[in-house]
Amino acid sequence: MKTTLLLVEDEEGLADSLQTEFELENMVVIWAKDGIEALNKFHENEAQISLIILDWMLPRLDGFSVLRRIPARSQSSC
Amino acid sequence: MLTARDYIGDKVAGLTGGADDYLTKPFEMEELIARVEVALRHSHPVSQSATVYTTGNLTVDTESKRVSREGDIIPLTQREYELLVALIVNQNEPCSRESLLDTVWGIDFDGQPNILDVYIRNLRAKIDADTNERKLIHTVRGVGYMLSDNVVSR
Repeated sequence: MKTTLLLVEDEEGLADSLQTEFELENMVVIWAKDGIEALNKFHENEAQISLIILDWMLPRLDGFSVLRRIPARSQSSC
Repeated sequence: MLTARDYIGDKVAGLTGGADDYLTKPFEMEELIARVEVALRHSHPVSQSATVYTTGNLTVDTESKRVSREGDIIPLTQREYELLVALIVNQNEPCSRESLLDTVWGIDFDGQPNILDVYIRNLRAKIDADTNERKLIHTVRGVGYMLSDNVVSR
């Protein structure tokens, strides 16, 4: 199964080139252009998303606020 | 996490807020892809990880992310929770500082290694605060830390 990333980036040009690069790495990219859209797309696609690339400075809701609203779910071992 | 400026406050806030890593803009595409691959290697699918772990009267439910001691729910930050899970998965075995830093902060963590001690101190304040209860988090000199209900404190 392909890895799905949530890319949260408001600069459209940068988001475009990142999306192209990650697709070349055989990943699926879901793009959100601001913090609110990021949370919505995260909740819609939570089961598929393996990783989030989150810009810090974002319209509507900044990266830190997005981070705080996303629950912890990783498990680790020593 | 992508920060637009090389400002330490943003990095600390992001890392303590739950980000695994950060990169300052502008960055090289190859570096971002390499870091993404490392982060993916560190992650585990949710489905295989939902388990309840217990040590003494401490319970960690990795499905609900609920931590309790003697039935009392203990609120933890995300990093504190991840550190506790790393310890409880390996309970009764010493966890080296390096493995805990790698597991919880990521293999390319380049911050201060004493961040581990800060988080252990916070965890102790929440988990081992009750002096009537047996202490569960133990320092293993020269190695790191261990979670165990079988160590008699002196």
